[in-house]
Amino acid sequence: MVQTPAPAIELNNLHLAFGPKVVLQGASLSVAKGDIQVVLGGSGSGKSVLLRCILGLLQPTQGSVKVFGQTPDVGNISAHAALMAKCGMLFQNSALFDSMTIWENVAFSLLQKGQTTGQAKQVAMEKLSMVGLASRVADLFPAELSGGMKKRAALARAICGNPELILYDEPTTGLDPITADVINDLILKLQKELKCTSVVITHDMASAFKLADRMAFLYQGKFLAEGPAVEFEKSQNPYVRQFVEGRATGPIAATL
Amino acid sequence: MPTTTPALLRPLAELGGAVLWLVREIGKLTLFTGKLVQAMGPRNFCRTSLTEQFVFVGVGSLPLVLMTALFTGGVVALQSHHGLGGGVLANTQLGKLVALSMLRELGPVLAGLMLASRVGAAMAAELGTMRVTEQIDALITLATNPMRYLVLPRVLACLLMLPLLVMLANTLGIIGGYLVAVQSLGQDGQAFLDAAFGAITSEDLMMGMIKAAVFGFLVGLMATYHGFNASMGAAGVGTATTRAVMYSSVAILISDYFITAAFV
Repeated sequence: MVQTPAPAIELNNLHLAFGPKVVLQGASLSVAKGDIQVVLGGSGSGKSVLLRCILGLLQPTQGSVKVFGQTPDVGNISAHAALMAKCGMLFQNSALFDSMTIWENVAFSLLQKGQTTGQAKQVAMEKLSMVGLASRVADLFPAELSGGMKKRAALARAICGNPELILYDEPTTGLDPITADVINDLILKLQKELKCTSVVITHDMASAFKLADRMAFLYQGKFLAEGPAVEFEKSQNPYVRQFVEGRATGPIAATL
Repeated sequence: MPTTTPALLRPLAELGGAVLWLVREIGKLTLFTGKLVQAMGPRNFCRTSLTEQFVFVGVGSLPLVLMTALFTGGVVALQSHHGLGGGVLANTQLGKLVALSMLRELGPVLAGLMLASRVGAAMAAELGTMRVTEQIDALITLATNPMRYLVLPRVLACLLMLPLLVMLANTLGIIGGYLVAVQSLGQDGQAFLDAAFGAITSEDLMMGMIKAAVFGFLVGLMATYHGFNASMGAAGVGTATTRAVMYSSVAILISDYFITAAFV
């Protein structure tokens, strides 16, 4: 009998509310190791909150999160740090440390682990080169970089520890279509080179279809559809169809 | 269905709301302090960050604190001379008044308030900005405990640097008083110094240092707590900064009363 490998991420019946605002209400999803899982959903559908639950930055009021079989919990400092060492995260607005140079940002986790400046800088330069940033960028500060360069630098930081799981929070938001596609290519390249699992949160359909092995559609705090990307494109679910086609009319009410 | 509070009970409801808010804030602050203590440990210090904060809090605050102390000492000398009628009594008591006022009260309180306005505001704004731009979340995802990396060095720097600043402020305050007494009021310098140093006891020094350490801790704690918990973008950072300065100033004045009461 062939055993199914344990999933990288397992979300089971997640519920989370901020006061009266219910964000997640029964979200369940399983992400297999080595897959690129794209999570689609409109603004305010709970996508970023879901990522925060995966990272343990938020605790669901009900349900469970397992990442590599462990429950991420920031309260358990050492266990959480060990889990985070296996993960990389690309934040929507890059979240680079603005008081540090780009190479210091990239090498941050290495410097914290006690590596020498020389060793850490060498690794940082390799990672910057992997994401296509020239070495002259290394000594600049984040404020001196364009949006696309910041994304690349943040990506270099996320992959610095050779993570087994990379989470992307809207990686192409705010970028022009060409730069967005460059970032998509970069995600695919890193996936191939690092042989990791990726979760991409997005509402950019071009990006989603280019990247996804599997897709899931989050609506009003739960997954309405989940499946391989090829099936998703042909889905007859009216909610998914409206979202994929980007129509204002349909079962999803546009809120402005 | 939402319930409406009758008009007559509204002040009571508002009072209840304020009490609940206060209890909740005290609870959150206690938990924050607990996490801070949990982050301590000999192997957990980030030396670079600690040194940076020592320089920022200590060296960076020197001009402001010393200038304040120098002029405060001068003002105390002027006011006391006037209050004592300016005769022989003023001549023998002025040094004592300036020295004790500075050591027991004005040195620690004014240095604490200066630290709250300069360092507290800067720390709250910096951490608040890091919070709203997800830099603190990024730290966590990079397997770094933000309490250890961001909060602990800042609180320790305030706790350890304010007593040193207060020592220098006290000295400058006495010098300020001396200069005014001798240059402006025409008093005998030696008599001023004899009265000043003859009046100082170890208890005065200890009270001043205890106050400085407590005020330093309160400034560091309030600044990091409000910055760390900032939300809602730029406006939230502004609110956190205002609260950090306001609450640390109030906390300094309240704790000043209790420490003074414990010594007298």
